[in-house]
Amino acid sequence: MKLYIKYDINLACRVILQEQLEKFNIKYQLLDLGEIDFKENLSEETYNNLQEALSKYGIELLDNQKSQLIQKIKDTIIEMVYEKDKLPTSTISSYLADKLNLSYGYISNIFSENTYTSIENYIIMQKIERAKKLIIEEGLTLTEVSYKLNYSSVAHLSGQFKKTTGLTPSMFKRIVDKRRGIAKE
Amino acid sequence: MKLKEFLTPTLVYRTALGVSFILVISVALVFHIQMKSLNRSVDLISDSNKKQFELEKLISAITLKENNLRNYVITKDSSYLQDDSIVKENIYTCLDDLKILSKKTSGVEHINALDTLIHKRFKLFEETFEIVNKHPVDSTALKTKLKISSEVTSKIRNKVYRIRDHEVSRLKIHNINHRYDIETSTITAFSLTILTLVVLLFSLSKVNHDFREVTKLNNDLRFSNQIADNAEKVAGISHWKINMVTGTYFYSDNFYRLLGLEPNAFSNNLDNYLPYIHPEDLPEAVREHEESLKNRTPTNLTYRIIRPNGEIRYINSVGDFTHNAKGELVKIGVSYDITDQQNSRMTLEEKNKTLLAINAELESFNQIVSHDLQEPLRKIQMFISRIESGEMQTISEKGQDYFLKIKTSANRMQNLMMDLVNYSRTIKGNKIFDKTDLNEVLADVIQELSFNIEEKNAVINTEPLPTIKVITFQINQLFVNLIANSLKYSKDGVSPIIHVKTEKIKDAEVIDGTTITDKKYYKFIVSDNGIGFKQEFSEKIFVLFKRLETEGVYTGTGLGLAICKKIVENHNGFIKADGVPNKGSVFTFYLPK
Amino acid sequence: MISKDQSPINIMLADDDEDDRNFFNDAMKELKIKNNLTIFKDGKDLMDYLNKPDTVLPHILFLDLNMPCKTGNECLKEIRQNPKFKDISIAIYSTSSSERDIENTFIDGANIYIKKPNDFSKLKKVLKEVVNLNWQFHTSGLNKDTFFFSI
Repeated sequence: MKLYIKYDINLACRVILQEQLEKFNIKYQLLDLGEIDFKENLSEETYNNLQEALSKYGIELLDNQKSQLIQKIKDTIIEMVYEKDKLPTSTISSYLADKLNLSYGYISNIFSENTYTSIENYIIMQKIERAKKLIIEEGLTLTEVSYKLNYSSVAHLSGQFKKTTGLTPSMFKRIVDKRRGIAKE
Repeated sequence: MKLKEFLTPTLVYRTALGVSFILVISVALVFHIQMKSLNRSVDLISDSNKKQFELEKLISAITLKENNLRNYVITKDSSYLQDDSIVKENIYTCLDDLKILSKKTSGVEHINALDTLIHKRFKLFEETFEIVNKHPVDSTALKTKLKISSEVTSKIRNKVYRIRDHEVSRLKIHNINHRYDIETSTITAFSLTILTLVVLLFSLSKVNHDFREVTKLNNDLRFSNQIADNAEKVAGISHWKINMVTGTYFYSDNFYRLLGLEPNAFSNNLDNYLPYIHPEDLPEAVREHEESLKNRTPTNLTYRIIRPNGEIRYINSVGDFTHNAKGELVKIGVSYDITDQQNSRMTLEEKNKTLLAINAELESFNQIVSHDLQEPLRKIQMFISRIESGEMQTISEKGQDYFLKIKTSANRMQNLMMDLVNYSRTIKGNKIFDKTDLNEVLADVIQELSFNIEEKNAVINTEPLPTIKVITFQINQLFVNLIANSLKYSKDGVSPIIHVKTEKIKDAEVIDGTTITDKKYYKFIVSDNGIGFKQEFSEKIFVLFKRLETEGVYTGTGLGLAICKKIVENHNGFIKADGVPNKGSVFTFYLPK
Repeated sequence: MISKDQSPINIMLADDDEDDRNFFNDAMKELKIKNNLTIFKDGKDLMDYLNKPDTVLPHILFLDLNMPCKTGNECLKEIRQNPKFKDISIAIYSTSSSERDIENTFIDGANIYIKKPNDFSKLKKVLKEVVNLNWQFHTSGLNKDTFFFSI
């Protein structure tokens, strides 16, 4: 029997993190956007052990400032795309600058240098990713999806979808449905 | 209304008949009674007359006797006494007759009184006779006797007269009655005759009327039958009947004609028909026929028959069960000649098969073009690009020139092949019509051509388009070709401005003999500000591979618009082009609603 | 973390056409992305190599469809049936542009569909985009099951 799973990655990660930290008896405080405030300094051994334990779950401890910043930018963007039901239509730049307390110019430079893609592209990528989720998991129509992701029209959404993936949203849905159909057999 | 319905002609006639019948019978009865009464009155009269006659006879007999006696008394001649006994007998006979007659009618007591008197008289006769015969005749006694005798005779005579008068008066009444009876019976006889005549006339007229009606109906029926028979002949239909109760078959005239025979060529019998059925179809047909008779189910059979001249025809026979006017179960059916339809159908099927085969060939051709031809071409172009990016400097100028021409030709070939593939896709079979939002299609198309649009700095103005049932990928191709054309044939140095919109059809237009109205068609317009064309070529540009003079600068394959036309035709629509040289072009296409 | 700066991307290609293999190789070389490229002449060789226990699995596998012995489709299905290969992004590299073919490859489990370009610089551009995108997907934890890209 095959079932489909929808999982909340964030929650799963938090639980794993908490379990691991408790295993190593580390005092901590979990802040949002993937930040942990260690209440005490960790020894190098503990740090390495923790790093190893967490890497099994694909969780990395970022100690590189740059990487941290980039991760923060990504997380902010993800939060913007997913958690707020309505995305801010304009001034993403000011939104990010505000949230991270840095100039947008600096943010975008660091981002493109290290990820080889622009923030705008990344945002689009995340939006399309969410669109995919909405289409498959929640079965929303294109109109509903374009509304939720703040696109000016269905045509706009389809256009961006096609540009990003090379497929139209309907083709995409068809493929996923047929794949599931095959999987059921 | 109800009463009128109740009084149907049949009822009226029946009632009238009954009434007249009763009337005639009653009149006849009355007549009969009158006749009887008439007879009775005649009898009465004759009796009366007889009575009178007898009375007269009596009187005269008595008078004779008296005369005889008188004469004897006077002359003493015994010859007068000769008839005595006879006369006495006569008198008594008369009396008897009178008695009988009186018994029938009345007055018996009178006759009896008379009888008594006559007896007395006879006694007196005797006594007188005795007295006379005594020697010496006692003349006193004789006188007394004679006197008494005379009195008695007077009495008798009076009585007789009285009876006679009575009879006479009675006779008068009888005569009156008699006359009355005659009169009434004459009237009755007369009215009976009249009545009978009337009834007879009436019945005759009705019979005549009905007869005429029936004749008319018969003629109509005959006429209808004739028409039906002719219709059968013309339409190639025949009908048949099987009477389930009597087991008889009936075949219409045309039934025989369908077999290529004269009507009634064989007797109505299934066995006579079977030989005409094609031997291959015979077992199945017979089986179904018998099953249908057994289960009383309707049939619909198709089988071949062979005419005497060897011709094979296809017959379709449909039959069902019903009841005839007598209430018997019959199976009635129609057989018709479907040879022509059958042949057309078979031809059609053949053509279909051919078409499918052609289609399959076209598919494989498509395959060849899209894959096998494209491969080497792609390689050519790849190597061209490799040389271009690295080796150009080592080639002579002439070589570079030639090289560029190779590149151009290769690109042309590429375009041509793409267009050919597109063209064949528009002809291909699987045309699935889906409800499509044309705005989405247009957005896709603009996205597809985004590179060219940006390159030319073109502006595409769009208006909201409807959602209609179309073959999506073909309409996509249509817009691509039209907009790409507008982009391609733009004026040098002028940014192309392209409008895509839909319009309501105000005045009905006629294209190719079809009237296009707003009710039935959508109207779409793609217009640009490009180089336009001469209006006289407005139809030529849709012809496959036809390009207008503008060669060299503008590279086209000549397929684009032909593909557009094909697509529009696939949707049962129309397309037309209007151009003004150096101003722009307007392409209008109509799609049915 | 996979970074272009730090560790090379492992790429595999299976194509029976020599010219195409050369094009691909040259393109990757000119792209200056750190990569380990392994090239196979047909599907059978590819599968044999993949199934070897200590083979380093590629991040992206480019599969030509029309190959003798084992076609790209067969390889695709085989790879997707094996959970060991679930992290490999498969890019179908083909000459066909038929929508139905494209759809079918995605349904059968491909992540990327590339129509073989007819210009070298276009090829470079495509490959760069594909590699980039793939890397993005990896680093951003996006869903592999819905990772589709057609170009």
